[in-house]
Amino acid sequence: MSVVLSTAPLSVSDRAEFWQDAVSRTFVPLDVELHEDEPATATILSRRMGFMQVSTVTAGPQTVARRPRMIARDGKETVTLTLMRRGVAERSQDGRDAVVHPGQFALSDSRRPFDKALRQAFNLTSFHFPRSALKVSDLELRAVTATSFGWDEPLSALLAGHLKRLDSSAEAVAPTQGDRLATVTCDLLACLIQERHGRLAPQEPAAVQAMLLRVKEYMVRNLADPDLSLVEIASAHQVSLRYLHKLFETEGVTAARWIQQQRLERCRKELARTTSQAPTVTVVAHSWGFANASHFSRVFRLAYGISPREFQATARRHSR
Amino acid sequence: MRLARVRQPIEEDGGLLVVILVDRGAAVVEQDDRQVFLKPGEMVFYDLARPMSLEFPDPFRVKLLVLPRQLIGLREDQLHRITATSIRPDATMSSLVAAFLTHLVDTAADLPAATGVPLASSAIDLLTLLAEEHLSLSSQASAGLDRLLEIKRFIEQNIKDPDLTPQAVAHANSISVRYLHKLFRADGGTVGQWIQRCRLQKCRSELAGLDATRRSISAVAHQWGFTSAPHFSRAFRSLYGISPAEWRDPGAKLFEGSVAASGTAAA
Repeated sequence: MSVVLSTAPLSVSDRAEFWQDAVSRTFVPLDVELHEDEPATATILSRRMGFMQVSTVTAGPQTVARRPRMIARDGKETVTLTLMRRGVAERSQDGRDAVVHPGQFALSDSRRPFDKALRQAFNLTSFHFPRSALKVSDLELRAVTATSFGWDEPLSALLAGHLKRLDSSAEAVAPTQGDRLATVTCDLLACLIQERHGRLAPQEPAAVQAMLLRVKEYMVRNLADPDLSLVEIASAHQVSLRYLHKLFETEGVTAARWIQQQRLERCRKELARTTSQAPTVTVVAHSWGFANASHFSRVFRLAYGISPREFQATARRHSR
Repeated sequence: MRLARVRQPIEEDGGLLVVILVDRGAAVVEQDDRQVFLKPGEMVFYDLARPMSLEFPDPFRVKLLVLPRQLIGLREDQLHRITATSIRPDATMSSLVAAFLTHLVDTAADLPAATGVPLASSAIDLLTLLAEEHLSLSSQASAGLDRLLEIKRFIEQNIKDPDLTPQAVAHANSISVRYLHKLFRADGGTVGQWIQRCRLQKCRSELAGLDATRRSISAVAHQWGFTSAPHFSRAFRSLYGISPAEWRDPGAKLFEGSVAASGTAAA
């Protein structure tokens, strides 16, 4: 089922007001300023594809803006992906500008101010959907607003082709398939956004470092626990085991090896203590999470070139 | 034969499903006492688990996709109905999917390696939609079918609700629980199975995403209504023939070479 909003039946003087209302109802509340004193007919044809609304807009030159007061008032959280068909759009959001040509598409996020200028008659199709349907982080989304995607790269070309085909067939999609097709489209878009982000902003250093620090703190707090496992650590931070391993890639050692090094170091410090009641090697090993004394001796020797017993004896000798 | 490196599925007990899209020339596929002659633009599914024959009578060019059958998430009887039947290129989903798959296969070699899993997942989702469209086009309409479709859609839209029980579904759609079960029985399944399938589909889609490494499998499963991680893994494997961990992170054993291929040969 499609809905058509058109300024055709209206007198020229009534068109501007109606058009502002039509655009705001179709997408999100927006300020629309028409460039022509006597605007030609403008139409919006909207159809639903599951949770996605597909709207084709034909109109004359205008400037469209999403302002802070509107954001504060309506609190709408939607994303609009706009595919230009005819005419050129100049877009701004998040401190970035982009020019979008026919065949190219760009994204806008309704939660932050943006504007768009079309200096000639144009035709475009917008895919409008809830922000929650797009499985990317805010950081990733913010990095790609007001960015023009086109046919110059294979991944965006794949999506551009898909969007173009959706544009022509959205109304014919069966009601039971609409949501899933909308989901596939959002998944493809998420893949594009994350690939672009991963390439241009390799693993946001701050976020990764913060997570690594948290994980290390957790590990240090639990060093004494012989049952400390990587699975448990990953789960405690709500990340996958794979991501945990990836975090430690920058450390140059595996997560397991890092834990072992921490344990060994504390054992070494304790064995070096020369108080009259120096604990035995076995006790020290156990207190730092080594379940097996001979295994401890082996890794200690590998790390420090001397067995724990010899090390402790040497330390006592030197203290006298 | 020009092969583009994308992904190659493992051969599990379930066997493999092949999708052929004819680009140039013709193809003749025989399976299950059915024979279909394909012209350019037409597609066909066939099942490697059963005897079949594939012939190219003329110089040809085809796009080929191979996937573990269970990933489509269809029942055996449903798969039987669509294999070796020509898929009309003019139906909505088939033209969308055929064009997407063609584009994917043609550019597979140039796509970033990291996107292999999410794109394969999207391709499979599209193939599932295509198979379902083909199934519904080829089946006889029944009085309850429209109602069933409405209810399925309701379920999909409310799948995030942890209290989505058959009772809640029946109530929201103004029918009795008994009638609800009857509708689903006529379709060959149960409402409980359908609800679980929708949940598993959501999980699968999310686990294939590029950011899948950041959330644990149990966190994803929990979000979509699975309270027990082992139960989720079992249900996932039972439907898709592969564990959630293997799906998200295909090891060297699973994914190696090319799945998408373009073949040119003379008769």
